[in-house]
Amino acid sequence: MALPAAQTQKSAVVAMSGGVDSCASALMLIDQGYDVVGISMQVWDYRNNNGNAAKATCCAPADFDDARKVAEYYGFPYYVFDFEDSFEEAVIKPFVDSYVRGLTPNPCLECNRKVKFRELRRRAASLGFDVVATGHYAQIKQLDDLSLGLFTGKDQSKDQSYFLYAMTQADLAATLFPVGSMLKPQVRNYLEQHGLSVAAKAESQDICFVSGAVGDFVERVSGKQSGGEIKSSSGEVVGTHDGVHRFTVGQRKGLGVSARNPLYVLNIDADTGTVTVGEHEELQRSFFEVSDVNWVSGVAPSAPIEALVKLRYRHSGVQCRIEALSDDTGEMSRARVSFLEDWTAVSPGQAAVFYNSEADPEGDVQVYGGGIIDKESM
Amino acid sequence: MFRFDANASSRLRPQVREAVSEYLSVHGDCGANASSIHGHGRRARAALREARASLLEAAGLAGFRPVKAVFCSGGTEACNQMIFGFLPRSAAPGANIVTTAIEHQAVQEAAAAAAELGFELRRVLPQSNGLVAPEDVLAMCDSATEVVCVMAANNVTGALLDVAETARLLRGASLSAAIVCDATQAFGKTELDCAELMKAGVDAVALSAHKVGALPGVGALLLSTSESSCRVFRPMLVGGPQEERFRAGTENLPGIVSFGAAAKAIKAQGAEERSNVSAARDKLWQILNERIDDIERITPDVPHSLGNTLAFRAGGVRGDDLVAALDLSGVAASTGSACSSGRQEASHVFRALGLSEEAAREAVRLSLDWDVNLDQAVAGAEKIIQCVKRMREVSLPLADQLQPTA
Repeated sequence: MALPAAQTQKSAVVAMSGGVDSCASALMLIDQGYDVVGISMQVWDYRNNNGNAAKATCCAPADFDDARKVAEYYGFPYYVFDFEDSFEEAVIKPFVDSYVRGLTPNPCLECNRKVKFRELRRRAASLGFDVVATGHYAQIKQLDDLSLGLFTGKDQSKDQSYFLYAMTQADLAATLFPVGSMLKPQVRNYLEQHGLSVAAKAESQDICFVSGAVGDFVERVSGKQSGGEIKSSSGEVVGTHDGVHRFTVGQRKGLGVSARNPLYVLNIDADTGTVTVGEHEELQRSFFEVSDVNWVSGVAPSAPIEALVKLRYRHSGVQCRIEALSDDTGEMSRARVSFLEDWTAVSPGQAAVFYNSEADPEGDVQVYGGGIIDKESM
Repeated sequence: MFRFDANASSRLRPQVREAVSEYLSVHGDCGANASSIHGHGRRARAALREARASLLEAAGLAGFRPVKAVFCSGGTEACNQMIFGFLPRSAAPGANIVTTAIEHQAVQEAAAAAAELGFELRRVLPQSNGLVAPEDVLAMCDSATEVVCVMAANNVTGALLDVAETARLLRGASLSAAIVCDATQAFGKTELDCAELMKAGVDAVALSAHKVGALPGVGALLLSTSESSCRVFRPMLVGGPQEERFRAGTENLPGIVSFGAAAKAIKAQGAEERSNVSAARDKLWQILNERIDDIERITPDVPHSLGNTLAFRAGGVRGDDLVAALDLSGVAASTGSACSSGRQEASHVFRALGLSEEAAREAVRLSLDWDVNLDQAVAGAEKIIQCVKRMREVSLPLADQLQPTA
């Protein structure tokens, strides 16, 4: 298999969080003969938001120090760039707004789509660099028709392709995922061989700009939210709550309502402040729709396809039939996703990501695309 | 490498390297405490005396009797000392501090700390030309004003403020506030006449060594001790009797010797240096202005600015990106401010000048070293032009550049 076009270019900006994977990415590119510049993105000023920088999982000065140490040791330039404005506009505001509207957004998707693979790429280009590398566990391969395909990371347990479905052909051509073809233990070994202590660092998995409970963060940004009633599916009031932003469709724990059988959030109505709960079977539906759909190939399939659909990060996926639909403007930016056999809870605001049902000969699974689960269609 | 960031820290002068080497070769093998009575101590004390004399002379204070030059750890300490040294222990009703809105953080944060103690903080905004009118300072002051801080030269724009005239106005209005002046950027880059400042009524002047080609970690507070100075200075640091009890702590002799050597060099060759530097700065601006569209000079015109400083903005080009791009091209520059993470941010000075958020974010500061020459200005300008042009090419809306490749 041929290398992606991007890998013929020998200079790259590496997005460095200070974590294991981005540090390893920078070193691997240096080993491969790249001219590397490290950039850390300061996306959120914890001092201004009553946050606790010591508890945050990234973008804290200590992480930047780690990235800076690696850059100094290996002698490549390193800068901290201010992304606060674009991050607030592209990520924080939609994140908070979605929660207030009773949705469950995934901010990492928006950050990748609008900040890392767009704004960072533009700013890398202004430094004279056409390629951006990140520490994501995902792979880019050239397909038989010479277009580029997005695939799962070699390490299935670390795979981050779910967060990358919105990448376009132009994005893929200008992106490198150096650790995507490695297993996490190999990455740690690699760093240890290079004498770097970041290999012992904890994983960062939380939302990087939230240091406590998400619900508290939402209120800190958008103000105190009004509470409302919790109702059963038959309309009976079974409890009260402190705000719809504290719930996710499919959620079981923390409802504060006792019942004989476990209860799940079935629906969130932000307009009336009503959270409806019920038993697990009541979550079942035969289909749902997604909006803001991206097809990585750049072209929506003309006929329905079968695909493995993941409805949240780390979801193993369910087989679905996907039909591309056009929106009001005629763009094919919507899709209807129908469950075929198994089903799973569908949380509006989360991403549904479409994968090839079968792995390629190297054991990697191709990402066809994905979209955001629509509330109105349900 | 083109070093156009002298206002952050300037290139070490060869005379400084020599003087420090000589000092270390004489004293370096044993502790040299200028307070000791033995021979080593006496030699250290002599070095201290010589450095102090050189500094006073370069600051225009040779023969000006009622003054103390107090060595300390740097410009920041000197600025803190001159503010807290003149503040009463507690704030009377209405007690206030007046500063310009374009002071360095060393003054701004010290004044903010004083505000936490109950002193009202008043900030005088600059005019649109970047200068602060003496009348505007006077208008902010009243009989309860304890300290007035006006910098001699702004570190970001290079604006020269008329501190002497400001002091004359305040004293003419019979205000008894302490008048203090951060001259860390003005010293060496202008013909700083501290005698004139003090005659006009200035009580204290802060200086820094590494801004004039000496070692970092040393500064000086020049204190007027004239009888007309009605303010009592109370040292922040107490302990041993060093610096005539104005500033306790064993003197940093190698640093102080470096400061003295730099002062001597400034006295000997400062005038010639300044004329070369400002010629280079003017050339640099001439080229940039001719070759870059939509470029705006923020530094005030001659004679109202430091001859080495050129702050400007190129429309559509972020300052922090340009500084990084310049670094990769071998040009050291600055946006004038950086946060603890190392991120370059728009200086509060640009905002105080009334620049919009966007324009402030585009601002970049070039500041030339004492030994810069015309060739460097010309070659450096080319690098800057290349970077700005490339950055403008890629700052098109994203949709225009990201055509799918397949």
